[in-house]
Amino acid sequence: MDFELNRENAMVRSAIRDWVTKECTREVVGELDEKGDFPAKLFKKLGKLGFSGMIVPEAYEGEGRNILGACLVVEELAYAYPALASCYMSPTFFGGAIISELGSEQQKGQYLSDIARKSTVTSLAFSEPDDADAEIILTTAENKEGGYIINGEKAYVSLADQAGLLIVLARTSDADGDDLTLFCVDAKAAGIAVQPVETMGYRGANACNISFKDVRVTSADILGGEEKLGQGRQQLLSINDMVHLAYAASAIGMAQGAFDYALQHAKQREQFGQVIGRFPAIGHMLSDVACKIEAARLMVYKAAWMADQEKSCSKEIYMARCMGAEIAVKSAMDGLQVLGGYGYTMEYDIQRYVRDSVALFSSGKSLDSLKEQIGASYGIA
Amino acid sequence: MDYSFTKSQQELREKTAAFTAKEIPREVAREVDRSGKFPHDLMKKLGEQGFWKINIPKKYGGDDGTIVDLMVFFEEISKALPVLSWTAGDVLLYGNNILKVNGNEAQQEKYLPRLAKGELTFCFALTEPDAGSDAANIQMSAELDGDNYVLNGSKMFISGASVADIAVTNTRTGPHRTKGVTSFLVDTKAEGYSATPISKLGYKGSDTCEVYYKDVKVAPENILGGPECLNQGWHQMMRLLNGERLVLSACAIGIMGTVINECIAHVKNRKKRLGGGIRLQDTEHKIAEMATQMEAARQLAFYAAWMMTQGMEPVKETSMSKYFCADTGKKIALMGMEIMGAEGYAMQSSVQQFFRDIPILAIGGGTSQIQKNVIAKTLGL
Repeated sequence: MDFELNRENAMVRSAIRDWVTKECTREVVGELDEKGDFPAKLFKKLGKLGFSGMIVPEAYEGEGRNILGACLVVEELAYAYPALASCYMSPTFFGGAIISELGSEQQKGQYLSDIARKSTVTSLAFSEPDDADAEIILTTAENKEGGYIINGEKAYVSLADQAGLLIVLARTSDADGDDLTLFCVDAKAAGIAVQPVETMGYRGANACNISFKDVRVTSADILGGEEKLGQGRQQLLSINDMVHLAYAASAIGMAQGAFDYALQHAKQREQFGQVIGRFPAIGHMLSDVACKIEAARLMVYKAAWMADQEKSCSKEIYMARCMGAEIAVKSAMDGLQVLGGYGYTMEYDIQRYVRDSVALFSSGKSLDSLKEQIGASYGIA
Repeated sequence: MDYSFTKSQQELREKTAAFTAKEIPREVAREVDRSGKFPHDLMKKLGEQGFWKINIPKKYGGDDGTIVDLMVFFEEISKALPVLSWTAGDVLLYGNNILKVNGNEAQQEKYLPRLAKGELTFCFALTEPDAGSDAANIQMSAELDGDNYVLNGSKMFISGASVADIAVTNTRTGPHRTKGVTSFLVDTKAEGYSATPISKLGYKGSDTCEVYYKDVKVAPENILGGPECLNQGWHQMMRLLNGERLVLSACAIGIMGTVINECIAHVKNRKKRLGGGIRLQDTEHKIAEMATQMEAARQLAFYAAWMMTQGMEPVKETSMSKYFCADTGKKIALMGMEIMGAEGYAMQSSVQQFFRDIPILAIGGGTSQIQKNVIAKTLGL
């Protein structure tokens, strides 16, 4: 056993932490959040640090397979600016990790170098209107003239308005048995219309509605190549591992960010002649949060370590993801209570953690459906 | 025992519900939240329909209602637009009720008929930058200079302060923490009074302000209750707390009601989509839990209210009610966010709006921690 980060990842953490301290100041983040625009400048600067290829093989100009390292980057970004963490997850986890693992040779050649070098924003177009959990897929990909024609509506797709690549889940009627298929679709293809939706938090990393009208793709655009027709449901399992590990990492970053912010206030604010942190009603509330952050972080690191070792770790990832969401929200909500009236004003940052953290209830999937997966690993679902 | 509402209370509920159905469709509520503007229009309409008379004594042209009537009104308004219940509080609670409980006859005669007609709003200025939970740490000075008192200092988080006609202002007039506090009826048009609205997470449109008093002159007859009430401010305020806690409880109950209804509609819709008489036990149990907790909160609140109408002094029960309703409301709103998922996270959803609204109910009017202090004290601790 060894709970220390290896040298490489210790350097990754220190580099991203320094960068976040310098670039994601509370003034900068506060202003970006208020505007709600995509943080293009920061994202570009972040790309130059070279962390986007963390889960891209060296043959494609990436770092190989450093999933824990990528989680550390997500965590540190989410500490100060959760929406930017989401922007980073998009090329790194949704693009790099997924294409590296499931892409065909042609797709790897087409996308991975750009992902590693240019941080191609990659969006997962699975959910549909009124169906955030993608329970019933109505979008169709019809086999015609040697290719496929996609029609339908997708919803709640993070960053689709900035995407270069969309991974689209569609119903393919001519497949045997399971008839869902994943396609790699150029986000700028004709027939695609993207509409951002205004949300409570994660401002800057917009959730979008997408409409597909006669969007043409070839059979080579099926994720993993032609032979993966109809295997979307199977592929989603490993995609979900990467997606939810990233969200879990984001959760512990947010939780720590909110906690540190509240702690600082509890150490400074005086009422009844002493700093409020000395009242057990406040101090113990913070201690409780700190315990759970510690537990959640260890769960995330362990799951990431298992993923790096190519061990099967879906259960561990989902556990970390559920625990992470719970503690991120608790840390933010309790932090707000610690800050009292001040915490409720937009001038203080804790309200942003409240708005952002709640997205973890629904990012990618609901916690209930994740618990269902955990249950499945015990043979009870 | 009798758990029923009187006929006039039922009529008040129906009348209030009819008002919100007609005047506050979702788009209107969303616009108030988006713009953050004080809802002058809706306030005017409430006045025109006679709602300001609810708790005004008959001899001043009112309906002479009890705390139960007030709660019925606040609950119904909060179901549609929580912030409107707060702005209504600037008439019903901080105008009507303060004068009814603490005003002398001259003050009642001067203000109550005009309050009944919707010609005036009040605001209640207690909290200061360094007097939050430690409310008795009032620093704002009021010094007698010739015939008038001169007020200097600042107040924090005063809702309605820039639109109010009269600011009920608590000041330091003696060294004793509680027996050196005097409450003044300050004309907000007086020279030296200024109020700046603060931007907040929720309850947008409440006109919650930081207020500055610079040499504001107030005549001794404008001491709440008259000149003989010098240094009685704290005691006067104590007499208002039971009512305030219960009205805030009713606000939380209204919010819970809408969140639960939205969730039920959402889940019904989801079941319809999934078809085949599907059971969603996880979600259904959550809603069952939410509904049970709301019922408990409601009973606690109306039990305390009944005690008040019987002339008892239910300090313990109102504190329990305020604490339990606010904290349960937060819990329910959070569960609502989880059930609604991505749909609830979009700005068009009332659930995210109410989720942003509710945390302040566990802070304003005495935090949950302060309520627990009071409860513990009534238990002999």
